[in-house]
Amino acid sequence: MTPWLSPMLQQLFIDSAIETLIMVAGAALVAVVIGLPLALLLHATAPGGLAQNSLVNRPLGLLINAIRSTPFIILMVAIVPFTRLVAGTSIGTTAAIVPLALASTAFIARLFETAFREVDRGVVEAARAMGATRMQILWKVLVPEAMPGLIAAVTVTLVSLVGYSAMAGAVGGGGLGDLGIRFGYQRFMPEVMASVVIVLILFVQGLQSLGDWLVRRTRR
Amino acid sequence: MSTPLAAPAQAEAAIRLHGLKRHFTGRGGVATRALDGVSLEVAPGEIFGIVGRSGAGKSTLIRCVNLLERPDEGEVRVLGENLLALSGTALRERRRGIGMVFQHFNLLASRTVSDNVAFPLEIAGVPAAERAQRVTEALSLVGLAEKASAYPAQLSGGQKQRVGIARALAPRPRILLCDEATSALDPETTQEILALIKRLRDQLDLTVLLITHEMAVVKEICDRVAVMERGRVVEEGRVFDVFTRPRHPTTRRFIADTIGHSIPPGTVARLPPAGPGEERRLLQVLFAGPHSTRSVISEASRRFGLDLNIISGRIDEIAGEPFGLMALAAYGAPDRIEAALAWFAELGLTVTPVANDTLEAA
Repeated sequence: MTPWLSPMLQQLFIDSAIETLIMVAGAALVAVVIGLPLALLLHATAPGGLAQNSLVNRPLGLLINAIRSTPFIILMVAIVPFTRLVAGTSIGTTAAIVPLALASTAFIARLFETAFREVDRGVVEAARAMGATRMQILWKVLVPEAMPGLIAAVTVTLVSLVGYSAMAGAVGGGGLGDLGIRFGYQRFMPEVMASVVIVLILFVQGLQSLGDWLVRRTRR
Repeated sequence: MSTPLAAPAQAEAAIRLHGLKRHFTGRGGVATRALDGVSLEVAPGEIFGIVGRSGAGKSTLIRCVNLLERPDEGEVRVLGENLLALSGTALRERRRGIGMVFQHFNLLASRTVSDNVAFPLEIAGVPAAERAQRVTEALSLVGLAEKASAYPAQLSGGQKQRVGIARALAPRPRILLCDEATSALDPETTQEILALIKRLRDQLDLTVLLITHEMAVVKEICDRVAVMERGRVVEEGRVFDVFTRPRHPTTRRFIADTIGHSIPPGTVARLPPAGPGEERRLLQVLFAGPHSTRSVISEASRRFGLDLNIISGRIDEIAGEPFGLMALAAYGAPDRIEAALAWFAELGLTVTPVANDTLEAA
C-alpha cells in the first residue's frame, strides 16, 4: 500500500507545520505583549477613562484602525522596509512574523480594549474610593476582572493568525497554507491540499477548545 | 482614638461640606446643577442620612466626600482636613481612612471573599501576615467568616453587601460612606444590613454618612437627616423632629410614603356625607410627646361641637421615640373645624389634610 503522501512530502509537511506554529506563536506573543499595554492605554485615555486624554486616544485609535483596515497581503508588502529593519531580512519565516505581529497587535488591542470596557465601572470606582493608584487599578482590577474576555480575545487572534499565516508564502514565509497553494493547487496534488486543510481545521479546533476551556476556568 | 462622648461639646465635625457646587454638561451643552450650594456637617459618631429622589444630587454629594467627584466650588473637610488642598498621593492616603459601600456591592468577581476584603490592604501595602489577620477580623465582624473562600457569584445579595462592608472596614476607617447600600436588597435583608451598620457604628465608633431614596432607611438608623431636592438641602434636622414636624413639602411627601395614612377610596366612599351647613374633612393627626390621645380627641369634640370619627390609628417609633398617628373624619361647621385645627396646633400636634379627601371632594 502506498502512503497517502510520499516520504519527501511528509517531511515537507512536517517542516511546513512547524513554520506555521512558529509564525503563529511568534506573532501572537508579540501581539499580547504589545497589545495589552496598548489596550490599557486606549481604555484609560478614552473619554470618561482613568486618564482621559484625546491627544493620545485619537491618534492611537486611528493608527490601529489604519492597520486593521489594510488588507493583510498589502500590509505585508507595504511594510517590507520596516520588516528588513526589524528582522534583518524581508523574506523567510522570521520576516513573515513581523507583518503578522503588526496586524495581530492592532487586532488584539481592539479586542482587549472591548474586554476592558466590559468591566463594571462600579468596581473601578470602588478601587478609586479605596485609594488605589491608576496603575493598581489597571493591573489589579481591570486585567484580572477582564481575564475571561482577554483569553477569548487571544483565542480569536490565534485562530485568525492561522488564516493570515497562509498568506506568508507571498514573502517566502512557508507554512502549511503555502504548502497547500504550491503543491495542492499549483501542482494538482489534491491529497496535499486535503491534508493541509484537515490539519488546519484540527489545529483551529484545538485552539478554540483550549481557549474555551480556559475562559470557563477563569470566569467566576 | 477618642470616642465621641469623650470629645468636647464643640468637637470638630467629622465631615464638613461647605457651599458645594457641581454641574454637569450633558448632551447638547445643557448644564445640570447636581449640587447647587450644599453645606452639611456630620458630627463624629453620628449616622447622618441624606434622602432624595433620584437626580436630587445626593449621589454626587456623597462622592464629593472622598473626592471621587470634585466639586466646582466649595470646601470638603474630613476629620478637620481640607481634602481639596491635598496632592494625589495624600488624597489616596486619606481615602483609605474613608470606607465606602455601594448599591451594587462592586466586588471583584475574580477574587474570593477574603481576597476582596484583602484588596484595600493590598493596595495600601499592608504586609501579608497582617492582612490575613485583618481579613479574618473584618469577616467575623460582619458574620461571614465561613464564606472566606467563596466567590461573589456564589453569594446572596445580603452576603455580598456584608463582604462590601467588611472590605470597607478592613483598613479600619473612621468614616463609612453608604451609597444606597440597601437599595438593591429585599426588605428583610435591608433590615439585617441596617442593623449591622448600626451595630458597627456603635462597636467601632464610626461616623456614617448614607444616602438613600427610602425614608424607611432614615427612620431605621439615622440620627439626623437632610432632605435634598434639585441640588439643594431643603430640610435638615434630627430624624424625629423631621418626621414629626416636617416643614418642606418634599419632606412631607417622603414621610407620607413611609408613615403616612392613605385611606382606601372605598372607605372614604362609605363615610357618611356632611349634614346641611356642615363640612367633612379627613385629617391626619400626629402625636409626638406627652399627649394623651383619647382626651385630646374627646376634648376637641366637646369644645368645638364637632363629630370626630376615628378611621384608623397606630403607634410607631422613630429613633427610639414613640409617636402616634391617627386618621380622623371631622364633621362640623367650617369655622368650628378651623378653630379646632388651631387648637391642635397650639397643643403641638401636627395635623395635615389627607390627600385623597381632596380627590373625593373634587
